[in-house]
Amino acid sequence: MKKQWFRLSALLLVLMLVLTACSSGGGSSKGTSGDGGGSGDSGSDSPKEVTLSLTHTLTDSAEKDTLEILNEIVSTVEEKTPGVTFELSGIDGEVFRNQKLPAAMSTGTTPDVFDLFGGSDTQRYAKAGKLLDLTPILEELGWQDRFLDLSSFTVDGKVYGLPIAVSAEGFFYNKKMVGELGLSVPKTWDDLLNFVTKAKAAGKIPISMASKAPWVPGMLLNAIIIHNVGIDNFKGLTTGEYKWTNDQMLKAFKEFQKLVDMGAFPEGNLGIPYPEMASYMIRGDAVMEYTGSWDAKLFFKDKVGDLKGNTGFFMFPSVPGGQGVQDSMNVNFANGWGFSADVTDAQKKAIKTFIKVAYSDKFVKERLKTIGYLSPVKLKDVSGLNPLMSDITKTMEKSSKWWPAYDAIVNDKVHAAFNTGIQQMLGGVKTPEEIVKHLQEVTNQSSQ
Amino acid sequence: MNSVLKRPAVFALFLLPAVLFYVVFMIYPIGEAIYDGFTKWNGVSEKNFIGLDNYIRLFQDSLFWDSLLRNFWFIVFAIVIQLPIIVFVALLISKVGRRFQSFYRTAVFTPVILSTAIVGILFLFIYAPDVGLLNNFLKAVGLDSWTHYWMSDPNVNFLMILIANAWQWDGFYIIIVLAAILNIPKELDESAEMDGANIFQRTAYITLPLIRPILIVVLLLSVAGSMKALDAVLVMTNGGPFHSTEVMATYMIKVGFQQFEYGYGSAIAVMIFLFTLIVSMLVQLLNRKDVEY
Repeated sequence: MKKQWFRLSALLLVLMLVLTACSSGGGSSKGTSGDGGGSGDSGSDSPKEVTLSLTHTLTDSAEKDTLEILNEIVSTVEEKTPGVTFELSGIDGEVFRNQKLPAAMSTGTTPDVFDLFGGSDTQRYAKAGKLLDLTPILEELGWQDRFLDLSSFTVDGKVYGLPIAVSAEGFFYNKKMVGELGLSVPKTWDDLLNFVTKAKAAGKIPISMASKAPWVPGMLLNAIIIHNVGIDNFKGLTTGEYKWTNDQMLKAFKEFQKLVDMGAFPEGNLGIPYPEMASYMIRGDAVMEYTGSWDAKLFFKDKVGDLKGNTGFFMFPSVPGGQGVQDSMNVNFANGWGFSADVTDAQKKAIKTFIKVAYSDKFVKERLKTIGYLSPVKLKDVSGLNPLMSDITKTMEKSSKWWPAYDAIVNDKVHAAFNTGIQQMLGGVKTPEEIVKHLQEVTNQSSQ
Repeated sequence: MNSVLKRPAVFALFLLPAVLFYVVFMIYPIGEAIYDGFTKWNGVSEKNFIGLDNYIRLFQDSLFWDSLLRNFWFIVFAIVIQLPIIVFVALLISKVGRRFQSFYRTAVFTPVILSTAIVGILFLFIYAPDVGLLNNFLKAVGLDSWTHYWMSDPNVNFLMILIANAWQWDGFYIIIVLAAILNIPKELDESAEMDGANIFQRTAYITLPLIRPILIVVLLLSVAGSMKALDAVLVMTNGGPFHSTEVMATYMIKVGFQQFEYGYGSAIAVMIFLFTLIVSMLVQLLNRKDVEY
């Protein structure tokens, strides 16, 4: 008797273990956890109770305001559509983009609403049929023309995501310091080189730079390239119509090398992480920095001292003889909201309301004012902005052409080689000639 | 309990959960990684079987071989620099009195309980060019010319990571070696002392031979750890600048999760597995001739 009981309980124990192992391995558990559960069929049987899992990447304390606006948007949607509940979870942006989301995509446990990058990310997921086609929703809302630019989220004529963080790249500069040094905003590339020489002579760092992450100097090199060769030629790199080794392209790399050789950037910048880039400006060591408009929010805070109200923004100067449109600038519609293709009709309805609220004039304007996100939609009234934000908005309006960043055009392998190349120039271990040659090799290999 | 061991069926039943977990979480993923290594796959698309193409590419990929070389530097550093320090410190601690011994034990072990992220950032502060402890110390003692941009200078940055990593893990090995030393019967040491052996002779002919098996274990652990080295590099430089601190694991992550070549990344993972296996077996060979006392 005793033995039997023993055997039975042993069997039960094993069974229990096996069952729990299976259920946690196979099924997508619905819940508030951050691992993207709760997609698909959750709450599908009763139309009144709809749950949408939403994963955002606003985990940093610096993004508190952004998260607050998101919470407002979500509660507005929940009010407007009774029965709909959102389950929010936040994951670090880089981890989500590079690890969680690809994993969730391949296992089919994508959240219903999530932070999505345009360009190659969107293309990869859209082609695998993982993203909700938003074209019909935009048509129903009559919003086909509302957005400034959806090209980075469009694949084969269909829209798979909506940009939220629009950014424009240019030079932020310390107006007061430029005045004190007797300098003026450079209009041409030669002006800029002059500016660098003079600022350097005055004991300042001309251009703050943080090259630990290669995309940071990549932004500046990108602008030099596009002004020299033009965006159409740059796009031609992917088809083989244009070569990295063409003279004009090589010239662009050499111009960047010139800045490096002149000592335009802080010493040891290869070890400086991005968050420290602005601190060179805030400390009054550097005159300017080339980066995206997202940095603007740093300069209208109280703790930046002199820089508050004294920070200006200007477009990359024109390059005489350059093949690009000279009053053009980089405007990114980098990341935004994407939606899982695996949703029910009721969930789709809720998504439609979410889009309607999130991109309403009211919330777009609130983001513009409080956190310095440029508007992804056409706004009629942009009054009441702080001077720096209106500077940026005006610069954007003045420019005659917008172009996307290099990482949205070239493939991942060329992107990686480009990033390595920039750091090699900054570290003085490779010449521009060697780098363009290598880039062309990588392009040839990866397009086969 | 004896009756259970005699019945194969019940025995197997008890083994089943552990085996099941092992299969689900170890064997299956390893098998899948090996299979993925033969495919071209971006993580979401269909897997395309391409045979040995990934491995052919791997053999021509200088970035991979440079990374492998850096893993070997990890090993060389562990054997030539770390191991002597570990043994030396353990010997020192074994000689101090009981009360202070526990203090020293705690002191050397403390870095081990810190997470690598914390240790990495701590050392980034120490190595910081302008405000860092290291450069300021060098300046204070008049060695201005020795100062470096520690993390961005490709001549020194990898060595600096090795030092930070060693600082974190040496305490763990010191404790293991110390335990082995303290386990040696006192009589051996005392009788040798009576025979007139000095402290160096006793260390060389009694202590070291007796802790040899433990030293092999320490060697094995640090070699396997060196082959898989990832976190310290990831936190401190992420392999950069321009791949100058790349090790195999960081390169695998870059290829797999940033360039979205899961197939090629899996091939790299398989190579890490193979190299670790080979190197571990070489270390095991040292263990062959076991000395009995």
